[in-house]
Amino acid sequence: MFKKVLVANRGEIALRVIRALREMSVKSVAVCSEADKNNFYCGLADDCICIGPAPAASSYLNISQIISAALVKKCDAVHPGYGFLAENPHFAEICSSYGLSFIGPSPETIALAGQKAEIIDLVKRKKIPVIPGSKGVVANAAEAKKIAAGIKYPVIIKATAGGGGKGMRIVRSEKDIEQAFELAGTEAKNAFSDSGLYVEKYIESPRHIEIQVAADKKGKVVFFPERDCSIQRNHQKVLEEGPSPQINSNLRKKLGETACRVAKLINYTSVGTVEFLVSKDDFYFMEMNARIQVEHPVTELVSDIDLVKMQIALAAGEELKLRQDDIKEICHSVECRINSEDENYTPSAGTLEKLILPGGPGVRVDTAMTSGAEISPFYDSMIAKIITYGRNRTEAIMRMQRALMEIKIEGVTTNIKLHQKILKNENFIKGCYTTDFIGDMK
Amino acid sequence: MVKKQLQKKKPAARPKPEPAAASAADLDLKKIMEVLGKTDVCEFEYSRGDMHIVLKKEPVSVILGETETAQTESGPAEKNLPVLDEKACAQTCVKTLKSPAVGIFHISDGNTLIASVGKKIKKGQRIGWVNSMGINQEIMAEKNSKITAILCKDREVVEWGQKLFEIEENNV
Repeated sequence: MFKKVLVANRGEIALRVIRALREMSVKSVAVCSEADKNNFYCGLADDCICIGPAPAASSYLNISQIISAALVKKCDAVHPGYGFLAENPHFAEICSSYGLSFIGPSPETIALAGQKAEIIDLVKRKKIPVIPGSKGVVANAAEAKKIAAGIKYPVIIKATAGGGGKGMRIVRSEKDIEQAFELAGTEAKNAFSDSGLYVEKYIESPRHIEIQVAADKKGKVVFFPERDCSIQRNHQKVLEEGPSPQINSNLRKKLGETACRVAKLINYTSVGTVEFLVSKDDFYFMEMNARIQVEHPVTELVSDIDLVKMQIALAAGEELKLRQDDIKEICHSVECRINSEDENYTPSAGTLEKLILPGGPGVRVDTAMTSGAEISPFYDSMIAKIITYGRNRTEAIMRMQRALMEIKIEGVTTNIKLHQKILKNENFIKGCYTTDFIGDMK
Repeated sequence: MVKKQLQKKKPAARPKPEPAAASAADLDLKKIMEVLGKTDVCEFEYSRGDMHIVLKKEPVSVILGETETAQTESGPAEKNLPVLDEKACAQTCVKTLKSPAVGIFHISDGNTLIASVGKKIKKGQRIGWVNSMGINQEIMAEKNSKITAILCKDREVVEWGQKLFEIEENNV
């Protein structure tokens, strides 16, 4: 096992990793930007080092400073968290070249998972269902038009290096495709420094279902009960739950086994997530996220398994002790991402004048925020993740409604009202919703 | 660059002068000057009643090109006394040099110490470096200066932005 791990991230995920390391008797070294020096997570690590000024490009994305910090603090591994450098194969490779274990899959696997067009092509060859679309990167708008004519409108243009809805356009008729292609390309270039795009059939009103997997270096892979992440705004997740109220046991098994096949196909060796679009009983592979995800606590509660500790142990070379049959759904769980944002989902920075978080039975809170903390304009505007669990879905939802009532936040505008509205929506309560849910709710 | 100055007391609404306080002679000017002379305060302004006093320090001469023998700035006591000269401008200021990177701080090159408190340094002269992933990031003064404090030990692990040196810059 590792002796000392550098946590190359900030906020709640840094704290989540620091907590896991402490429970494993592994020392932790936090990194922080100048803006985060007083953040709660810094004080809970065994050591902390400032790596640069507030802008992420000069701190949390500054590979040389992070590697230097790991070396001078005599760490033997680096945990990237999510976002920032978590899916940067170059970073994983540099860690390795300096003798630091990267807590995640290999650089080659990260690179492959990150090239969406390539991985889709790969899984398609293995008869895993994918959404009909282009083979690899589409060179120009004329080629996109030709492909769209073949698979029929509506189509969706996506960035090959993308995520979070950036570089994405839905096109419903031929007259719009040229402009949409140009706009998506520019957006992708700005967001990911890669303007590569691909085109696929747009599935109307699908569900976004994802399967958590864990794989060791000996090739053993297991899957966990699914998370339903269909509640999205601007293609970004807001509320997640598990298991999905819309998936039967037969489909669950098929999705799980397919996810394991994908993981094996790309030699995956860590915890990760395979994402699917599900329409009725049909499902299509979308992508694989080669990292721990924001919504991982839902699976941790549903299965009563610590995924972050498992991820660290796998990186240290331990074999998976779990058998597939050991993984059970012991409860239902719901997660709400509490963001500092206005009703148009525009992030807002400011000081949390007051922050009172919920508690009581069945409530878990993952946050690094405290009263008086700053929501910095330089970073993500998430204040906290509230995760509830119950013996069944109704109990988990009731607990979430109660938990949201207990929260007191002053100083910034939040999306708590949006969550309350979702939780009271008749279709949500029935468990009947798709990725169009928030748009339809308005 | 931080220029240390005593907070100027701006002339407030002038109250009627108190008889006992109206005379400059009643203020122990010499005592004020002596106290100021022992600090690195560059400028002092004081108003009371009809009286308005501005004290500014004389430029401090910095000897350049000296050996590692520490040169102290304090010459004859009179030299550092503030003078009553409105045109005379402060010519030194204290500046903190911070680490440009995470790494190991060095002030010695093998057995030779290249920085010490009191040492006079020339513009662009290396006084230390931070080794970050095998690359030395040099610490040097932008102007002719004197090292007044070394805030980290040789071969100490330093973070980005950590204070390394305090220097007194010569603005002449």
